[in-house]
Amino acid sequence: MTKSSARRQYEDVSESDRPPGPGLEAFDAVYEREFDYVWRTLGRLGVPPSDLADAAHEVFLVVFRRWKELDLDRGLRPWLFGVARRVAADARRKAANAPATSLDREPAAPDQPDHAERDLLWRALAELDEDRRVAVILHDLDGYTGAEIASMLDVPANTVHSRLRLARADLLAIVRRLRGGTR
Amino acid sequence: MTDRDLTPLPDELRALFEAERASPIANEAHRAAIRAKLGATVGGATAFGGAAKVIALIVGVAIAGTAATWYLRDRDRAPAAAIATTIAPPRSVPPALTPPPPSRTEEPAPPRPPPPHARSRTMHAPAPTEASLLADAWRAADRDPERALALVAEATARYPDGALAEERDAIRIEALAAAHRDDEARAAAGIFLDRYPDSVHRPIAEAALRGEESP
Repeated sequence: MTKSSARRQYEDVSESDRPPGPGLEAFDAVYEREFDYVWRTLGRLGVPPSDLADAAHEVFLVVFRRWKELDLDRGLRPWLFGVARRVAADARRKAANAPATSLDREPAAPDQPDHAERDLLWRALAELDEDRRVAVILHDLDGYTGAEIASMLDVPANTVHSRLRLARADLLAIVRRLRGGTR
Repeated sequence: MTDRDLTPLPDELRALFEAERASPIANEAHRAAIRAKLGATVGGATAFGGAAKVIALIVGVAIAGTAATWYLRDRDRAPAAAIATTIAPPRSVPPALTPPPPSRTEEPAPPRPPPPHARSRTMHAPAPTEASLLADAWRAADRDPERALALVAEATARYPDGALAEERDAIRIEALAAAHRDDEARAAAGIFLDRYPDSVHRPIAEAALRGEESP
């Protein structure tokens, strides 16, 4: 088969045998509803501010591509958290490989006091061990119970509680150090 | 042990968590810019297939990432309303959705040392994104398949768990076929179809199995 006929054949297949589209209205609704959650979760997971938009875009590309597999009867966020976690891991790895610039780590502007505490927390979370970071985000910020987190992560509940205890202690020490005081 | 047995959350952390939850995301411009770029892909979703869609998807990521990075760096000066005018009106919310659990939760691989050109980059020359590498690879797959394979290999090394792994594997099949490495193309196509049975790129793999160049 020539290249051109192969291309025609491909186009025929893609147009006639394609799976049903996801439905733009439904996708838009999920996008509008979950964008803030995805953005905030990526920030909590240590994605540098300059990479947040790129990472959020990647998460929604995965949502789009996996659309056919979504279970309409269960909650979306545990899965979204898992996608965000993998995208965040890539973003952190990329940031670690790139030389830091003054703009990459720009602190909150003085005229954005609402962001100061958020940015402090995100910087502190970025320094936590990954397992502990996930435990504190899911429990203390997202509000899941230890049992729910254990199910999501497929680990014993006692492991979740242990990680959470250690995460809080570590986080408190990091926050105090970042504030520049000893309290 | 239950959650009630936990040591109470220190007041200092509790206040910080509450402040974080109450803080505005303040990224309407980002939301609009990303949705607009997704539109190149999602807007064509009813076709849900075709190499052009793949390229649009990959290029869309690259453009959105670059644009959003520039916006973020200039956010204090950028008039948000200029971009926010493209926000689609909110739609009615559908029933809750739940996809299958993530396929991987393992820790990421340790950071790799950047290549020499990355170490000497200038402030506005970041390492290539997964999307930009794959967009270049896709464009090269037809006329310069060896270069395409090298770009795919670089994308694999840099982003082993990248969100565009499916696209990466499809490009590799196309490049192998274009390079007349038919046995390798067929082997890769078999693996691809097992791994992504419902992929929008299925025709590429099927063409390789038939010993044809990619469509």
